[in-house]
Amino acid sequence: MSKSSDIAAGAAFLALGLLLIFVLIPVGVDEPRKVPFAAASPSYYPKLIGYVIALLGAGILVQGLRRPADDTPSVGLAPYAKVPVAMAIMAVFYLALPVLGFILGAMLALCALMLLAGERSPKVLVLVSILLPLGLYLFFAKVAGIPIPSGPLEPYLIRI
Amino acid sequence: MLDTLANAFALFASIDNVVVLFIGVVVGTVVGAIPGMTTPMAVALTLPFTFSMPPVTGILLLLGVYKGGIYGGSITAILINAPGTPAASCTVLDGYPLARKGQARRALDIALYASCVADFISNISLILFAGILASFALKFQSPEVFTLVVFSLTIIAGVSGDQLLKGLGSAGLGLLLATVGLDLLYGTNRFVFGDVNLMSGLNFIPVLIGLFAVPEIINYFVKKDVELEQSKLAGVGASWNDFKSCLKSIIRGSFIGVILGAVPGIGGAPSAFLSYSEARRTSKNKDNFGNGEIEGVAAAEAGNNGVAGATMIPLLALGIPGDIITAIILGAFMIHGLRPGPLMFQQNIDMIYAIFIGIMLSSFYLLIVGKASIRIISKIADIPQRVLFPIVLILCVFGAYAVNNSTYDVGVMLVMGLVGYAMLKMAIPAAPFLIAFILGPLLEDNFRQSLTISRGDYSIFFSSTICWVFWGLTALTVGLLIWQRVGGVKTEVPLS
Repeated sequence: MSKSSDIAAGAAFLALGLLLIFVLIPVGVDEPRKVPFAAASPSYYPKLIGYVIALLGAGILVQGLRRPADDTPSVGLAPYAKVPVAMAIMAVFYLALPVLGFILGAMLALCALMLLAGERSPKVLVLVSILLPLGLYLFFAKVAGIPIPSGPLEPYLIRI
Repeated sequence: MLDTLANAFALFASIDNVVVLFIGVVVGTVVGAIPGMTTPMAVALTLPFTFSMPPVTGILLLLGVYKGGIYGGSITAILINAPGTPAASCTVLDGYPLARKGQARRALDIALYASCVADFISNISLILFAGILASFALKFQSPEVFTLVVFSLTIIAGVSGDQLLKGLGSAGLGLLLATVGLDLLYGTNRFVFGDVNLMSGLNFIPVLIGLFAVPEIINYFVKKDVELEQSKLAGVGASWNDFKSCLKSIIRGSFIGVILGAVPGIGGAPSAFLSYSEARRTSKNKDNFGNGEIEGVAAAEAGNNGVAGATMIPLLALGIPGDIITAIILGAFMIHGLRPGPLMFQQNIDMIYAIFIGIMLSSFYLLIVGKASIRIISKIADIPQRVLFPIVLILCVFGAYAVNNSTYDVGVMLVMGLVGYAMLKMAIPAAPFLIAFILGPLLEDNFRQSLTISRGDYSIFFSSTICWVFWGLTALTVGLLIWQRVGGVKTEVPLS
């Protein structure tokens, strides 16, 4: 394990712990007016976790700072180029769910993701992105009885 | 007793169960044989398909995938030198050299026989010991349950990665996330921030899929597509003599697997390595280990598969999942309104027996699937990753949605995927997170219940012998882990 990942993880844990104790718990946890003893309060246990996370974070941070520097050179950001694109595809898919529905959305997202991953055969792209969402629809909606919102395709799919 | 068994047979004996279990073993073996896909991923993605099934059928499907997946990992380990799971990395040591020598069939055969024997022994011990442990655990009250969960979490966080502190931090995150929603005692909001969707807490499935499937997919987009060199499925199968010469190691490995598997958090990898090193220590061909020794493959696979039934002991008897897969199976039980643990042995014993019957059948299925279909399976496993990973992501979306018919859960899954990816990058193990997330309510519930009984007096956690035993074990585990790190002992084989 590398120095940088230790420092990053330690700092993240420490920051989260402190954020919990000073912001998230006071703002996010509703206290009843009166509790019989401290540990009965809804905020007691999360606070305990907050302290533990902060302490562990400090420990990991110290451990990372004391570690000798990484001998493997950093690879830079180049290999990560596709990650934000993949994330954007999924974000658009999620935001468009109410409009496109699961089936059409999944078809488009699947096709885009395969293109991004490097698949170039039109046959594979078209067949997989049409058949997989349809197959999943058939299983969930028709076999398992779980309604799948399908947006504009709904009137056609319902007749299958 | 006979009545219960008859009921259990009635529950089990349906065409659905017999077929579904078989499908599970096939799916598990195929997915396990695909490089880059892990058994937990396979089980997690199968879970949504079980929602509409009766509980026993659904659990059997998952168990089939689990068993198949563990064996399937050895196929890639032997043929392409790419262990699908950490546990299979031990099989690589001798399996790949054998494949290079043109004896892939022999290695795969012995891996299969070792897997089936170990699986069988492991299942028998599950059936023998789960009931005994459960009847002992019936005496547990809130303070005892609390100390048990603390102990389990320590060992899980400590052993599941090479980093004790990060493992514990990861468990802390899981506990924290489990508190989102209405407070158990007062019904007040915790970390809801005005979002109605959060009031019932975060759902287990989207968190699970987000943590365990999505990061692998994101990571795929970072890596270059590497062509793996596949050895031919060449040579003749293993002979009876091969099997006989390995039998001692297989049985030893099975028992190592059973013992290490029954302790939460240790899992297949240490067991495989311990079994392997024991086999090498006692072998006449010591020097051949690592260069293609058939007994090495057998020992590794026996140690690895010997765990698979035994991990179900703490799950069924105590309700404590020892690894990610049993945590997912626990989630499956809960979705069907069942809570494994001592009470289940009283209230749903017929169901438990039905699962036992199915689990015995799974060892047999494994043999058939492994023997008959290796050629086909290694073909299917050739799906290019550039098609496979997008498909898996779409499966994740449908899976996350189907639990509660909620689009919100799809969002939770995607966000947890980012969290999981960040954790992956910072080398924070995700298993303690998930197990803590699922045990969190149990921990807090029993913590506050105990204190309510004692009116805030902490000495209640030290009031019984069982509590002291668990505190002692917790201290021992932490002590051992610290000693191991300070002493610089290799963490590859934590218990050897």
